[in-house]
Parts: sequence; structure tokens; C-alpha cells
Amino acid sequence: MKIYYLPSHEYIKVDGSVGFIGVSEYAAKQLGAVTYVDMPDEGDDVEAGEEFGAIESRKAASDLYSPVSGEVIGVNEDLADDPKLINNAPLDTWIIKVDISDPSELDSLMDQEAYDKYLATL
Amino acid sequence: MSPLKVFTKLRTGLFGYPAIKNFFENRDIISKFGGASIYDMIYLALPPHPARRLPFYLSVEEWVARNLPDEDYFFAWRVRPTVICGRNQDMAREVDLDYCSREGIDVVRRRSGGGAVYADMDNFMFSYITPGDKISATFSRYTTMIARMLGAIGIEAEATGRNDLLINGAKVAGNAFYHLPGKCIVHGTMLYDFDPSRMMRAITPSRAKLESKGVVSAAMRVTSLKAVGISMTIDEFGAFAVKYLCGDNVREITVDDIAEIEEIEKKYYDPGFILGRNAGEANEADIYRHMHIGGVGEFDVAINLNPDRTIEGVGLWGDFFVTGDMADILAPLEGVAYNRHALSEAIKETDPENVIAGLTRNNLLNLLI
Repeated sequence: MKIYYLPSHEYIKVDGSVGFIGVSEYAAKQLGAVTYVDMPDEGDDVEAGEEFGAIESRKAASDLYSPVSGEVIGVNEDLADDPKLINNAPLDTWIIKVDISDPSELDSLMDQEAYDKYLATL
Repeated sequence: MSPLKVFTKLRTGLFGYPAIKNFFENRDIISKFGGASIYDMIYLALPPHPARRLPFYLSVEEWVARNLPDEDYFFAWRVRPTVICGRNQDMAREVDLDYCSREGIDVVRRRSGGGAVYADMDNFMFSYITPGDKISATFSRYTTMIARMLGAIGIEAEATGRNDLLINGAKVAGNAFYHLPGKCIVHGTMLYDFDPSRMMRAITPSRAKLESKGVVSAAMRVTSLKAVGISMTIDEFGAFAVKYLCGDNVREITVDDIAEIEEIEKKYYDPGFILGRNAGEANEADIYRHMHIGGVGEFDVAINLNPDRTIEGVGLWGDFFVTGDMADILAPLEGVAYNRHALSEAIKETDPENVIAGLTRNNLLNLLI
């Protein structure tokens, strides 16, 4: 699955028209122990660049931004009981699953190489 | 810019209102630290205005983070009695909402993480807005600055791993963090003085609530600057903090800026946000409304109904002035059928103006239905 990133450190892994959205390893490390993930409901619409939820850790609360527009077709219920899954394996722990409505929005995101370069500037 | 001009600005802008009465009388304290601050942050000066509801100041922070160039910004502000819940807290579990409603304590939610805190005019709220994504480093930079600032007036404080500042092991300041893309907001309390029983009562739930999934507040021993013998008044301390952290650097918040800030503020009163989207069933009021009554204030009204549509309970929070016993207007509502006629009858004998300054019986009715 190809992965893309936002500068605000959300990723989207793309499988056909389905996108799995989570936070990057960098974000998970910055946040530290995650205590709560505020997620939308299945059936909600998210918009590229718009807030879709929030993630809270022992240290901070951070808004979550969606890399693409589309309908939420799944939320990761495991996070309600065990939000630290994000710390253990951020890239394998998606937060929401989205039916991507406009695949061309992916073009404006950073791929892995561009994101790595971006991280080096922080 | 002449020093006098800066003083004038700080005098009118610092805490909104009232202005810092003792500023000139205490120039000696301030001038000890010279004109330039080693931290060189930019002070955000608000136009004079009576203290606003807390979300306004949170909106100032957000507006600054989203609109001003990458710099370090700081401002100090105070609010009338308010409980502030963390972003993902179950409000009903963390706060004695009935007590707050009776005592005229406002209840709001912030976008940063952590637990519920109580603030009033004896407490300073400090806001720090800085570029970057590095959370731990930003936190420790901030708490170290504030600890040094207290050190400069002879108060030994230490920063903890939980982002608090302790004096002799007791908490004097608690901080929370809100991260936006590329920007960090750190804000927190700085207790100049406090009433322990009122604070504890407000942020302790009235009765055991069901298990909730929200973030739980941590209880801690608390102290204040006054308790450890600070020699400044609260206004002097505020002026000192600004001078120490910002020197003479000021960015004035204009009337145009305020209009944008007030737009941001609106989302803090959205029922979905203030009650909490996923943070516990107990927060679901059957009826929830946010209203402004000219000359009286802003109101958040939560009404719970019994299965037969009679009133189980009513809560009122906001920035209105409580001048009497809230039970005088709330108790007569219990058990009353939720319709305009029955409510109007139920409050006929009440005198809302003796309880909330400026609130007529008709206003009260409009708040309810």
C-alpha cells in the first residue's frame, strides 16, 4: 500500500479507493503515551485538510486533520480500550478508514521520501 | 518607542480590565529587570474590556497560532470563577455541575489535554504560543522559563515531568498543551491565591458516576504564591511576569482581530464540543442551549427531563453575575411539565433579578424554552 503524509503528521495508506488514516511515527513519538483518541462516527464525511478528530496523550492534545475527502467507513474501535496501540505501532494502527472521494487529492500530499526530507527540516 | 508609551499600552491592555492600578507605583520592581527580557517574547496586549468568558482567551491563542508570524508570544489573563475541563474529559464525572451552577461558576471546555482546573480572579492564566511540533522540548522550555521567573523574585519552584510547577512539593501552576499544525500552545494556571474548599468542591463530582472513557483528572496538593509569602500584589506580579518574559515587546490585538477571535470563540460553545462528543453518556443533556441576553450575559443551559417530560434538573452556567441563591430559581422548576405555560406558572413567584443581575422572569422563561 502506498503511503502519503500531511505536514501535520497524519498519514494515509491507500488501498484502491480506501484510505487508512493514522498518525506518523514522528507524531506518536512527540505525543508520548496516548490516552484518548476522539474519532468521528462511521458515515460521517471528512474533508481534505479539515479536522476530523483529536488525539490526546499524557503531554498534549492535538487535532487530527484528514489528508483526503470522503466518507468514514470504519473507525478503529480497538483504540477506545487501548489507545497506546498508536505508540506501539503507529503505521499499523489506523484511526479511521475512508472511502476516498477524490483520488487527485493524493497528489498534493507528501510521499515517504518527501516526508522524510520534511522531517529532517524540523 | 518611548518607555512611557509602552507603559501606557500595558496599563490599558494587560489584563483587559481592571487596569493595573499599581503599575507606576511599582516601577522599581519592574525596572530591576531592565528594558530587555532574556526571553524576548512578544506580549499580546488586548484592548481594555471587562473580563470575558474563558473561551475568548483560548480563541486569542488559536488566532495568534493561526495568523501571526512565527514568534514566541505570551499573554496573561484572568477570568471570573470558571471550571475548565480537558478536551476529552467526561464533564459530569469530573465537575460538580450542580455546585457550579448554584455558585455562579462558569463551566467550559478547552482544546488542550489534561484534567479539570478551577480558576478565578485570584489566579493568573498564562498563555504561550510558539512555532514547532516538538512537544516535550516546548513544555520544558516553558516550565523552565516560568520557574526562573519565580526564582527571580525569590520563590523556588521546580518543574515536574507532568508539566506542573511545584513549590515545596505542592502544585502552584498546572499546564496543558494544544498542538496545531506547526504551532504549540502551552497554557496554564498560576495560583496567586485560592480558596481550597471552593476549588476542591467545584472539581469533584457530586456523586459517583458510571465508568467513563474520558481522561481522568489527577488530584494533587496545591499551594499559591501568597501562601509562600510573595511580596507583590497580584497586579504587580502580573506586570512583573510580562516585563520579565517580554521586555518591551508588544503586539496589540486590534478591534478587527477581535472580530476574528470571536468567530473562533463560537465553536467553544457548540454543544457537541462543550458536552463532549464521546466522553461519556452522563454528559448528554436532553436540552442544551447557548444564549446571549443583552446586558445580562451569556448562558449555557442544560435541562434534563424525566420520562414523563417533567423537569428532572436544570443547570445554568455562563458569565452572568449571581447575586442571590440560584436554588431560588432552579428548585421551583423540578418536576414541572416541560411546556411554556407550566414553566411560566412555576416561576411566577420567583424573583430572578434577585438571583442573577438583570435577569427578568421573561428572560428566565426564554432561557428554559
